[in-house]
Amino acid sequence: MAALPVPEARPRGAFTRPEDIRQAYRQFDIVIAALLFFLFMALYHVFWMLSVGDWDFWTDWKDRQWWVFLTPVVSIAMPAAAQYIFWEKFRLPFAGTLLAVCLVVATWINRVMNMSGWAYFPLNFVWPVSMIASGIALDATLVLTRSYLLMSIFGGFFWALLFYLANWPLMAAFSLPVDVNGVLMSIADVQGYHYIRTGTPEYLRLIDRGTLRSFGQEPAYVSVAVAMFLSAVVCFVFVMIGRAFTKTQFSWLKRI
Amino acid sequence: MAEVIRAAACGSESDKLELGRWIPTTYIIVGSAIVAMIAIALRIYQQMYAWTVGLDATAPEFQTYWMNFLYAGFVVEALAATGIWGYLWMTREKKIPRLEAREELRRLGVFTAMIFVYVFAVFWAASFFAEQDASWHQTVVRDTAFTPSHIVLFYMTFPMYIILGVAAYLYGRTRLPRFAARHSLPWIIAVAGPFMLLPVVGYNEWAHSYWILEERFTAPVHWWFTFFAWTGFGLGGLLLQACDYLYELVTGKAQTYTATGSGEPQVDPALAFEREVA
Repeated sequence: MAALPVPEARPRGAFTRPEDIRQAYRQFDIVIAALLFFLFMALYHVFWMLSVGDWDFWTDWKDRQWWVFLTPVVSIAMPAAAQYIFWEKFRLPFAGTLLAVCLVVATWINRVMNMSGWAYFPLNFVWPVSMIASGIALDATLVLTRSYLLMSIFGGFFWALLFYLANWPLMAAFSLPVDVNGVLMSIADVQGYHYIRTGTPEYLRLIDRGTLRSFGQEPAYVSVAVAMFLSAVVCFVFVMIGRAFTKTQFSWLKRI
Repeated sequence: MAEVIRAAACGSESDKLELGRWIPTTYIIVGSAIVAMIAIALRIYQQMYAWTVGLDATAPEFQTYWMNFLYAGFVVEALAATGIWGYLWMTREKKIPRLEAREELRRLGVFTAMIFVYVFAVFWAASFFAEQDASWHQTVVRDTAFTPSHIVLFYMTFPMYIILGVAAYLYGRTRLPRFAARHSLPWIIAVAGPFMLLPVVGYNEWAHSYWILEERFTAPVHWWFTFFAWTGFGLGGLLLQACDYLYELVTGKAQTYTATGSGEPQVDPALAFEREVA
């Protein structure tokens, strides 16, 4: 087939009327919005389950040391990176909330269909946490400050703080003490003993160890405080990684 | 309201149809429905045979119900990959002509629909069946690499999204002038990154065989999966390119790379300026 001549410029666009153009953009927006929902359900969920998943799977893993500390510090990474892309390129300040909603939908689907529907653990043993309050706070600080640095500092603080506060009502009942044959345990511990996970090394493990119990509730607040500071640092680092994802020139790659 | 705008903007019924559907939603719905039906069928098969005949890899019934299922899956995947990729390659235009804006926009719409179905398949693999794998391995002692959850996750849903991702890439490379003229690095990352999860499966099995038999989902063995999950962000870069492409096609106000008869890309003044600045 003979090649057609290449004109110097495109003679005309697909549409000429503003209404047509707006309609074309609108359809693109709707499809991309649905696409992003599935994309972030996949990306954020797989990142979440392989970095802090064990603490999210079971109530007895939701302790006052590692769950409170590790979950917000690690999980802020992806919303921070997405925040840069959404805000810098599209002026959309809701990446934190979007990812949190995607995550909670994806995790609930799994806990109902698989953890409960397939492995037959009761739902009140495998319920997932929610990061929606943290996501709203992250977005709100960006809108109010319009600064990535301030968003990282204050948004990171609120991300970790609200993670604990927002999920405490869900977890509180499972932290109640109970006497089992003369041994002090939490309700969550008892669940872990009754529903044995034979594939793990933790199936006969008390997550909350002695020092955590003897200090009462204080370790949780210490963990939250540390998580707040570290979340701020991780947030800013991953905002910069989000920036790297929006690069289009890749001159460094050409040099390599 | 949208209908009113379309009716006012378009003179004929065919124009109205084309205007409202430059992204073929039928492709999205049918493609996503096929993916969902495959995933749900796999999930039902697991519900029926995982706990009954999937606990002991040395049992004869495991061979019957799971290993033969795995081999059948390999055959179907090979046929699907050959058929879909082969069709896209064999029906390509070897020299992409200069296209009318509407035709190019239609192709961009098909491309967008293919990416949607690809992402939907990634969701089933990376979210739904991945965490299901956790529920299995934290309950059942690992006695083989080919467990009922692994067979579905690694060897069926992973290949499914890889086939769809590569198909979308092939479509862009062979039908869309801009992507035919040069490689889109974000798009390569978004396809090749999730593809790399499959080689990581090999590392995962090796590590589980020699190092950590019991399951802890946050173990370092699994961190390569996390690393390559981040490559899905490459779709953000592709989205930026698609926005620019869409603007050009809809308004005709920007002239960008075009595959020509001689194979040489035509560079528009805006991109030339961008290069100079960089």
